Amino acid sequence: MKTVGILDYGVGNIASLKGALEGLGYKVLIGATETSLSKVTTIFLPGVGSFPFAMDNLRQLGMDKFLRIRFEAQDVEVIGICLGMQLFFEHSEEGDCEGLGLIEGKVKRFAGRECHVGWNIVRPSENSILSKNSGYYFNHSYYVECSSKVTLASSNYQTEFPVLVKENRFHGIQFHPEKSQNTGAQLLKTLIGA
Amino acid sequence: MLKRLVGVITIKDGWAVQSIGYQKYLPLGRPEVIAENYDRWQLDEILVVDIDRTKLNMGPNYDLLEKIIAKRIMTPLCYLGGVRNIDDALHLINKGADRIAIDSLFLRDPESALEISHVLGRQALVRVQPLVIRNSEVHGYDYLRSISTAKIDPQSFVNMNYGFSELMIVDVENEGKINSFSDELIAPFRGYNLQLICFGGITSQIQISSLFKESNISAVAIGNSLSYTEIPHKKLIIQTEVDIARMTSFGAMTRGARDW
Repeated sequence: MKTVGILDYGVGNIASLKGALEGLGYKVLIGATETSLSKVTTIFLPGVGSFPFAMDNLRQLGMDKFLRIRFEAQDVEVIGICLGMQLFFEHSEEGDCEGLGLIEGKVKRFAGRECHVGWNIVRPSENSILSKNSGYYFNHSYYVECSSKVTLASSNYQTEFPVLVKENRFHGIQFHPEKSQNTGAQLLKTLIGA
Repeated sequence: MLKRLVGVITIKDGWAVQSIGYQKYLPLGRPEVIAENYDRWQLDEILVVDIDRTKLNMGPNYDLLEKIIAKRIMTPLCYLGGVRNIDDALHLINKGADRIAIDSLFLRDPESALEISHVLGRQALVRVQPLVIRNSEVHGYDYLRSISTAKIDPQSFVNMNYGFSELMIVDVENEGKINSFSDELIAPFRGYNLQLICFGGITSQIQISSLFKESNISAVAIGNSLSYTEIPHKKLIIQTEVDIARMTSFGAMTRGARDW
């Protein structure tokens, strides 16, 4: 049974993600330090929170540096979910805040301060790990603008925007696979592997 | 705007109950079993409402949440009941809630409500507002004191809209009744930049289709009627492209979220 890690930086829906991963047959290790997550090959960066609060917490834990090192070393898979994905980018309009700057791109607010809540269709790009249009659960009020080179899938709400990105061994997922029932379960299994 | 169907589980004294007009309660069973059913039926979202917690100033019901999460449900979960401050909200998210709903805190302690929104992000916060009709006008309702309050001013919600993502309006007098949600409750909110969830007396497909035609209604919430029929929501909503895309991974014959 494969063990996966969850980085607990104070704003994630930890129990929710842990329950979903355990339901898929994985062992889950929750940690907030480099040492505690040193033995896993896949680390989740969950996210239910505001961008500035999340960045502050990552910095206080020293895990911003840890993630930058892992990104360059390409020695572990990191999967950022929702806010966790947005943190990979350079800047967010939410609190006018700098992100981790791992992937080129910016996080922008939906027009009219609308929230994109509910189930929407995700369309894969060429060479995506998704093979066809699938429905996933979204809950966010900011979205990412980035190069199509790193975009594996997109969705549409007000505008077309990336919802699955990959650079080096970092995957970012704007929707919540852990809350997307069958389709989410299948994607998690594809990303983590056996 | 996306449209969705929310399954409500009302909790009293630790048991899931059928609630009728905030006054009468009939037992339904264990909350975690009902949550498991909603997950299996692939409802769009689950809202757990513990009606004792705010009234008795008990804080959120973490034990209940743990029991539900132990079922490893993969349907989005929102929790309402007893949230007093940011510590309660963070603890709920950490314990497994995906979103938090709050009602009276916005009136009693708006600073704490906005702090929750600031830390969690407004997409994680739903504001709940019980409503009644008095003299042909829409008024608020204080369920802690069982009295109607001032006439509703939608602009006051818009002013606070940066603090929450959706406003759940509850038809207090029709809650628990069949096909009776009052359209009059929606009228004051037309034309305002608010995403609404409607709850109370919604039981038929015609009613839901009619509500979904309103541009600012993002969801309808249903409680009691879900508990008396197997997968009733399949008859309540007209399948869209999204619903079909949710099934494609495992084929049209998939039986529910637990097939994997």
